[in-house]
Amino acid sequence: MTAELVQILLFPGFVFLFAYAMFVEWFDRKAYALMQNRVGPPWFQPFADFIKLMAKEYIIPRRANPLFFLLLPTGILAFVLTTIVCLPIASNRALYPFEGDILVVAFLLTAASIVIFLMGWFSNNPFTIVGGTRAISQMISYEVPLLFAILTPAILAGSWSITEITAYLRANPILLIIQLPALIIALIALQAKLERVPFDIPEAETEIVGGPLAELSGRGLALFHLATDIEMIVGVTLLANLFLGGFSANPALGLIEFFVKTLILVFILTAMRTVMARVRIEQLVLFCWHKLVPIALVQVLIAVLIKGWWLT
Amino acid sequence: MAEVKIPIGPQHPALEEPELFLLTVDGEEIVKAEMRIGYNHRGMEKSAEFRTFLQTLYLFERICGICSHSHTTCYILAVEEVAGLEIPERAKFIRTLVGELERIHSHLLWLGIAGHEIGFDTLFMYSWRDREFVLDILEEITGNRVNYGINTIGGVRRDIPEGKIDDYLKALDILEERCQYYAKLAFEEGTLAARLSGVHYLSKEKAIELCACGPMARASGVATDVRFEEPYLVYDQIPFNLVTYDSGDIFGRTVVRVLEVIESIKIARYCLQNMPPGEYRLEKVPKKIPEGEAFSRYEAPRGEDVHYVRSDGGENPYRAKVRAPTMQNLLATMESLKGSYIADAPIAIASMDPCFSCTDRIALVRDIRSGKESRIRFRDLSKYGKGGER
Amino acid sequence: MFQSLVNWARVKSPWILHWNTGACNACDIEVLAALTPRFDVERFGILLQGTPRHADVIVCTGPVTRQVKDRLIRVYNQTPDPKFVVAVGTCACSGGVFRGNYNVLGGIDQVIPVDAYIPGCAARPDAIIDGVVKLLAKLQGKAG
Repeated sequence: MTAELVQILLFPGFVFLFAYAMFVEWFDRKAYALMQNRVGPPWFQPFADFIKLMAKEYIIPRRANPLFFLLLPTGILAFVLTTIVCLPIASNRALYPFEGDILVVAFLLTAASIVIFLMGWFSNNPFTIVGGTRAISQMISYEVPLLFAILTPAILAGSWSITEITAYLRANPILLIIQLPALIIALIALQAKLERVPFDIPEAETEIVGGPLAELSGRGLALFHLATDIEMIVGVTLLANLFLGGFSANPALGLIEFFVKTLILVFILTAMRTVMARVRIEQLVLFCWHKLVPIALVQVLIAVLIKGWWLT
Repeated sequence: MAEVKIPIGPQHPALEEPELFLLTVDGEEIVKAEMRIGYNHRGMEKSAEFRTFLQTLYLFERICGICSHSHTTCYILAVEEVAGLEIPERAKFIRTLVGELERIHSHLLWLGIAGHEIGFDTLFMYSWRDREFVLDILEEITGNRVNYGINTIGGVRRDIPEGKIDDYLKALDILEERCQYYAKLAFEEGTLAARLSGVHYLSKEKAIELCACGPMARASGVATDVRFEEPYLVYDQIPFNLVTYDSGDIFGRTVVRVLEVIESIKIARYCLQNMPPGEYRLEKVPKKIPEGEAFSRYEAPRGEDVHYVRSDGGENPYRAKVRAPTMQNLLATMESLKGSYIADAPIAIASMDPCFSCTDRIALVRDIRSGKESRIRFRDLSKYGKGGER
Repeated sequence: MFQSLVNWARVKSPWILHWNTGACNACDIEVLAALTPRFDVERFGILLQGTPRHADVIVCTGPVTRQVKDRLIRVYNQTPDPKFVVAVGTCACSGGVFRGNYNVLGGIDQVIPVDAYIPGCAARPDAIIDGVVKLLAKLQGKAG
C-alpha cells in the first residue's frame, strides 16, 4: 500500500509529472524560440509562471457560474492525472493495468476536452462561449481519427490493455513500421487535442482572445496550464507506448528511453506549430473527415488483415 | 445557437489600436458588422491652428507613428506650395529615400502582423527581424527609429552621413534577398495560401465604387498610385513598376505588399546611388507663410494621403485638414466583412493595414443649401470627440 | 521564505498587456518590436497576453482620449492583483505633444495609478525593457 502511494504521489506520479510538465513546457518554448531566431526563456520560466499565477488574485466574473468556475480547473487536472493509473510511464508496466484501460485513458482525455468547453460555457462571455463551441466542434473532428489510430496497435496486439499492447509490440518491433501512418495521424490529432497551432482554433488569441480561458485568472489559469502540460505528456507517453515500443523494464534504461521518446514526439509537435498558420474550423473538420479518417480506416483494415493472415 | 455579439476592440490582441468592431455572429458566420471609430481622436487639426507651421509639422509627425514621414511630407509639400519655396534637389532625394524606407518598414511590419493574426508567429518574428535592417538605416540617417523628424520647411534637417552609402546598399541587398524569399514563400507555401486566398474578396468594380486606395485597390486590379498619377518629389525621374494583382483577396494584398517592398528597395537604391551633391536645406525660410491654400497628395504605405493647408498670412495655419487612407479603405473592408467567418475577421480588418490614429477625425456634414450658420463651439467639439462611449 | 519565493516568481514572470489609449502607433510598434528576435523579451519571462485577466503589467501607450478613459478604468479593474501600470512614451507620461487638446485628458496617471514612466518619442525597445526591469527591481526592493 505504501509503495503504491509513493508511486502515485512521487514517481511516476504527481511530483514527477509536475516537474516533467514544467520541463516539457520549457523545452517546447525554448525550441519554438530557437526556431524563430530568438533566445527563449530560461529553464525555470514555467515554474516561475506557475508560482506567480498561484499567488495572484482569482477573480470570479459576475456573469460566470461561481461553482463551476471554482471546480473546473481542479476537474481538468484530476482527469489528466488519473490517466497515470493505467499508463506505463518510464517502465513497461502501468500501476494498475487491466483489460480495457486504453479506452479509459481515451475517455479521460476526452473528458478533459469537455471541461474546456464547460469552462467556456460557464464563463458566460461572448469570447468564451464561441471558444467553447469551437472546442466541441474541434473535438468531434479529431476524436474519431485518434481512436482509429489507437485501434491499430490494439488490433495487432489483440488486447485492450496498454501494458500488454506495449509488451507485444516490443516483442515484434517489425509491426511498428506497419503502423507508422497511424502514428502520424495520432500526432496530428494530438496536436488538435492540445489546441496548439495550427489547431488552436478554440483558443485563437487574435480572434477570440484565448477562448474558453479568457476569463480565467490566477489559480485557475495556473491549474489549466499545468493540466494542458500534463495532458501533453500523457498524450506523447501514450503514443510512445503504442507506436514506439514503450519503455524498458530496467528502471534507469526505462527512464532514459522515456525521456528520449517523449522529447522526440514533443519536438515534432513544436516543429508543427512553428511552421504552420492556424486553420479555420471548417478546414479542420474537412481535413479530419476527408483525409485523416479514410487513411485511418485503411490502416485499421491493414492491421485486421495482417492480424488475420500473418500473425495467427 | 443564438446570435452572439462579439466585440473586437477597443482592447483586443488583434488590434494595435483602440477601435471597436462589433460583429453579430450566427455560429461562425458574421451576419452583421458594425464599427465605431473615434477612440483615437485627439483633436489634432484644431490644435494645429494654435501652433506655428513648423510646430504643426512635428505635431503631424505624430498623427501616425508608422507612416509619420508620409504625413509630414504631404503637409510640407502643401506648405511649400503656399509659400512658393523651391527646395534643393538633394533634399528631394533624401525625402524620397526616407519615404521609401518607411514603405519597406511599414509593409514588413504589416506582413508580420498578418502572420500574427492567422496564428503564424514565425512569420511575425522573421519579418520583424528583417525590418530591423531598415530601422537601422533610418536611425543612422534621421536619428530616430520611428517618428524620424527629418522634414523641415525648406528641405531636410540632416544630410546623409558621409561614407555610409555602401553600408546601406549592402543592407538593402540582404533585405532584397530575404524579400524574394518571402515572395517565393507566399506563392509556394500551402497553409498560407489556403488560409488567405479567396478570403474577404473585393471585386474591381466594388473597389472603385467604394474608393479603395493603396495596396487594397491594387490587389483588386485597380492601377492607382499617386507616385504615377501625379509624381511629387523626384518620382518622375525614377524608374519603377506599379505592382497590381487581380485576385482581390487577402492573398493578393499580401503579394502586392511583398512585391512593393522589392520595388521600394529598388527606388531606395536608385536614390542612394544618384544622390545629387549640394545643399540639403534652404538657408532662409520665412516664418510667416503668405496667404493662400494648397492641397497635396502623397502615396503613403497604406494608400493615398491627402493634406489641405490654408494660410491667412500669419505664423499659424488657418486650417489644416488631413484625410488618411484608412478612412477610405474602411468602407470597402466593412462591406466585405459580412458573410465571412469570425476566424477571418481579424485578418480581414488587418488586410487593409488599418491605422486608426490616422483616421479618427471629426467631419461634420451640413446642408449648405439651408443656409444655416456652420460654426461649432469648442465645448461641442469636445462633446463630439467623446462620442457615445459611456 | 514562501513570500520571497512568490516575489521571485513575480519578478521572473511579468506578463504584459499592451493597451493603446490613443497613441500614434510609434510606441506600440516599439513595444511589439521588443518581442521580436533582436530584443526578445521572452528571455526575461515577459509574455504578451491578450486579455487583462492573464496580465500582471499593463503597458499603456499614448495620451488618454476622452473616449478611451472609461475603457481604461475597466481594463484596469479587470486585471487581477497585484498589477502594475507602465506608461510608455512621452504622451503616456504627460500628454506630450497632445497636451491641451480638447479631446485629450493628459497622461495615463490622470486616470489610473502608474508605477513606472518610460519617456521617449517614441520610447525605444531597449528603454522599454529597461523600464520594465527597473519596475521589477523596485518590486524586489519593496519586498526585501
